[in-house]
Amino acid sequence: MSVERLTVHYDDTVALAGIDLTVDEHEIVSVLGPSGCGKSTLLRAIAGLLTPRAGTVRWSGRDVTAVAPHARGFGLMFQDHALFPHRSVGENIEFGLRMQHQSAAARRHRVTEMLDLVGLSGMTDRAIGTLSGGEAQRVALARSLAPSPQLLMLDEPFGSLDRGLRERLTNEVGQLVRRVGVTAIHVTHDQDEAFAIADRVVVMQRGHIERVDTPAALWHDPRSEFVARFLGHDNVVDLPVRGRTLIRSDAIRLDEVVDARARAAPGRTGNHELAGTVLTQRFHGGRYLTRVSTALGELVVEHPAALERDAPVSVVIDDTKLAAIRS
Amino acid sequence: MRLYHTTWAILLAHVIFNVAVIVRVVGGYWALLDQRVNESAQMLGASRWRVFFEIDLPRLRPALTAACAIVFLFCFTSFGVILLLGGPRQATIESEIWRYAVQRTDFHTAAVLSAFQLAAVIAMVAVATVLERRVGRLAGRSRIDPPRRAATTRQRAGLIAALAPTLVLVTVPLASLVERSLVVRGGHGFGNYRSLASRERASSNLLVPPLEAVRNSLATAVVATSIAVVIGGLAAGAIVYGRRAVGRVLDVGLMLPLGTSAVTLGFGFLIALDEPPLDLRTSWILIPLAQALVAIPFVVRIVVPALRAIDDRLREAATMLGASPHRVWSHVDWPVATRVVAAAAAFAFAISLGEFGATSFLARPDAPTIPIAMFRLLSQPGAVLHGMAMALAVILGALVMLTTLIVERWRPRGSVSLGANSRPTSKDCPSSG
Repeated sequence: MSVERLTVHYDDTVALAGIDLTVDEHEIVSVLGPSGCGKSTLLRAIAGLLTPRAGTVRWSGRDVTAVAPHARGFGLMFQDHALFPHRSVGENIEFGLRMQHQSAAARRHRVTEMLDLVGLSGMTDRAIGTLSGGEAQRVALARSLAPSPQLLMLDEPFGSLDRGLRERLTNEVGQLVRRVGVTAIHVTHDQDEAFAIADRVVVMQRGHIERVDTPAALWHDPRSEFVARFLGHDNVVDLPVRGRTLIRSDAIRLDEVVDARARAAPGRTGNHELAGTVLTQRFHGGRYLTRVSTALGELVVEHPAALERDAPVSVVIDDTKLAAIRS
Repeated sequence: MRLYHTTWAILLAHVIFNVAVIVRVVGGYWALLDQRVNESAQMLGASRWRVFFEIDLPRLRPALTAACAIVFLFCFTSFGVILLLGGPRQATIESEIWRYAVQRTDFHTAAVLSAFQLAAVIAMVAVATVLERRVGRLAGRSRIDPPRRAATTRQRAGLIAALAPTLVLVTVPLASLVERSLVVRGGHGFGNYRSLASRERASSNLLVPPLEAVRNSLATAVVATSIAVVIGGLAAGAIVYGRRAVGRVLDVGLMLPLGTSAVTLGFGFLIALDEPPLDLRTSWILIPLAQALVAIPFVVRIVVPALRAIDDRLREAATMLGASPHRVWSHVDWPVATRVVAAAAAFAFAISLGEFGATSFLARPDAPTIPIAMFRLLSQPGAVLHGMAMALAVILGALVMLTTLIVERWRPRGSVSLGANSRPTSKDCPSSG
């Protein structure tokens, strides 16, 4: 699947400004970005649910921009499921199969297979209104996978679920999609979700693509300040020689200063020390996120212990793990 | 109570008629309001009364004004009640149009009065449409809470206190109507009902046995309903699926007959369709046609919101599962449409059964509908004739009630959206138009 110079306008506002993107077969790509960045628009344009002002959508080299959405053979799983409320679970799942004129026996077989796949065996006759949020989500996934789409698109599929269920389903769906082997595009504003599912992550901002890379490469070397901050990095600072630099959380730690002599500990090549005082602390994930005032400005450092406000500390930065940020 | 032929009788009758309108419009809107806003006001220290006056009332204002506009329109164009209860001294434009046109055959004066009436009504319809649109917009934004029940004794007492006057106001006239229909010389019995069928000519202005009117009414209503459903359904389709400009013109254009009084409509039919190329004066289709015109706006009003309420994402979901536009329509829209069209048909049927204003211009003495027969019987002196009119009224009431029950049964419950678990979440991008 590829899009070239894809441009979408809503009245006067530009939603997509000439997007180029290629998704390989069997690949899972997550489109990540803040609200209003155009990621859902990109999905709807690929699906054919809205007509781009310019640009092409290709499937295995063929231009499908003018093909009606129902004839593209793509599947879309909606935010908030969009299950048909007047049909049962089974009837929802077999809908796409009926559109393909499959026989009743084949449909029944496929519905059972799909329900087994998503772990809802035996729920064929349940009414949509009686499903829990997680169950509805699984039915929606089963429904979009049942007609064996060439490309599966997931639009914020877990947006309405609570955190625990969301993490569990994210992993489950990721594994499921891989097992089925379908090419997939997944849209989300949650970086954990994107990193958990995707082979490659597309970061979007204001109708543009900022970066396309693997989750690890993105995290280790975000390159732009926007990507760094969006992925949750706190410490982007100006260093004397290097210029704008990201200090990742694995490159920085705190030393509680006991006396002045301990500060210049020898033998720590590559480590750079910086005096600072504690501003605030927040307990997070078993550790304390500590805001420290230093000569470089405020830095956020994880520390295992609670510290007094205004306590003097030494910030230790590993020079080998710094990433340059282009300005 | 000696209220006959007084302004008070007319007022009381209109209050009884329109209580239901207010309850429907305001109550329906109230149920849609997001209660979390009230709860947050309470948490900020507002007492129940403060919450009502400062939160509920201002938020209900669009519904209240819209309901008032509708009731005003209904009262302004009220005809049958004025004619029956008012007598010669309590005249309105409506009753005067009828008197000039039908009793004095002075079409010119009637036409001038009609033109005035039409202008006033158009202005009011415009206002009502704007207000109603505002109600629709606001209501569309909020979520629907499950219905609440009165839990404490105090709440129950309040509920009863609020409902009792309405209940009395609505049931007493109906109950006394039933009672009066059973009054015969020397006691109670079914004499009035029996004499409806008698071949003996009961009244000088009624050429057929009154029971014939029931048959006429049913036949007319069937034809009128068919016309209204076909035309109204097509119009609703054009409004929902057509281009936006077309929809807007149709939407407002079709409101006009709703506001235009049935009297003006009947008068218009009388003077427009009496010469070639369209001379329908003697045709049986004339009355069903006029009644259909009265019912069409209601059909449109019922069908359009139901079709609009279908979540667009259901259509998109079907599309993404490989359904062509035609199959999307037949699988997503059609199941909703059948229900709502059935409800609209029942509604049109009830309107046609009770239609008096337009029909009074067009009905011939040998083919009256129930309301016409009632009016003719009531406008002659004689307890027997009045008793027969009461009996006809009870039959009409029973028929309309039956149809209303069917409407309630088929009325679309809430809107078709995404089921119980869904809640509104902000989409990250503006949705396409």
